[in-house]
Amino acid sequence: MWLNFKLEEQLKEIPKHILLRASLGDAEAFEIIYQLASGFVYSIALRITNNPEDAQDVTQDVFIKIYKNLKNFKFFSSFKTWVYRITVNTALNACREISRQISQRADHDSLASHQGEGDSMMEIAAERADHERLIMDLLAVLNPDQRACIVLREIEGLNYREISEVLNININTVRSRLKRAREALLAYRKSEVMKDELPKDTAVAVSRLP
Amino acid sequence: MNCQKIQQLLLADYPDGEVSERIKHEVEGHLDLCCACRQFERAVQDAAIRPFKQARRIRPPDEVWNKLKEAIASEEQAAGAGFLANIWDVVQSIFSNPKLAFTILIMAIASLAIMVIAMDVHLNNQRVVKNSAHIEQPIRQVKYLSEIIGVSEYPSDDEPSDDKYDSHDGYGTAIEEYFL
Ligand SMILES: [Zn+2]
Repeated sequence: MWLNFKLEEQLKEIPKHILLRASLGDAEAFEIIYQLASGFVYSIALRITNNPEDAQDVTQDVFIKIYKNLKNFKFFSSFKTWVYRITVNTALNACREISRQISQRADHDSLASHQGEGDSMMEIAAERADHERLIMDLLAVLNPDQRACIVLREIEGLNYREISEVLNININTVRSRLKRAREALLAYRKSEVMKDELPKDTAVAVSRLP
Repeated sequence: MNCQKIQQLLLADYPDGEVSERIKHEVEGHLDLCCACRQFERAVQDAAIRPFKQARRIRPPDEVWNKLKEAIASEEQAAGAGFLANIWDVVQSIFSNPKLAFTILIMAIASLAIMVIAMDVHLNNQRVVKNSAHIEQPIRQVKYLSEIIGVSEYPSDDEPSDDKYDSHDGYGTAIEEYFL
């Protein structure tokens, strides 16, 4: 279930002739692309939506877009950037749609508690390491735009210029979103420390935060 | 730089490797001397940076692929129906306009005539080639003529028609750069 490998290797393994064949409508070639890239797409979608069901829907949408537009992909700087862009944008749109639905229902539950529901959540929770739980909790503190920046920076390892290209925002916006996100995570950690009384030295360090 | 400025850099830029060597040294020099900023840096790392470093890549459940296949199949069906409907609309609009219909009829007859002439030249040349293998000039001319009018029975020399995948030398240079 868990695959722990780097995207770079994963996407570079899609041979050019496979992309070409898929762009000409070859279903078998498209399935190979799916097998090679779906872990990458799903992981990003999962981190940004922070919800397995939404991430599945986003993954499906992303691959439909890839299928329909593959014949145009030579116009983009790279396949990787192209797939990043489709994935992140589709995931962010899904987040907007979800928050719209939630506000329409006048449901004041936070996004995090909303995400606690659902069967697939329970399935994943059963096999998820504590660390996965922590990552989801931390991402739930952030808004979707901040999540996208954190995911691309921390998990995908993109630099500011690459993030700005994927999200189509300027570098100063990347910087300020990362700053806000980290401030929010620090504040969250501070509140957790106060609740749980973590080891003394960490508590001292956090209590001195501005 | 004062502590406030240092801590702004510790939240973004510095931990992301987006500062110059000079700024990097300045921050490191400050951290050596300032206990409060050192603790701030550790807190940022613990709360906001290190937890994400071990995030794993997760594959979607198999049902996503099955749903995707269904979705694509129904998209294709819808697209196919749409395409036929579009062609029908175009045909109808042409025949509702007599001037346009007449123009298209004339053009069709003209191109048919050119094709017949080209075929004739083609057959004659084949006979000539059989008699004398050295004569290549007329074939080139016919190739040129047939290319102009869109008759594709002469595959052009630099574009072998049997392998479409490998013949696209100029395909997506950026992509090529990426994969090379
Ligand atoms: Zn200081």
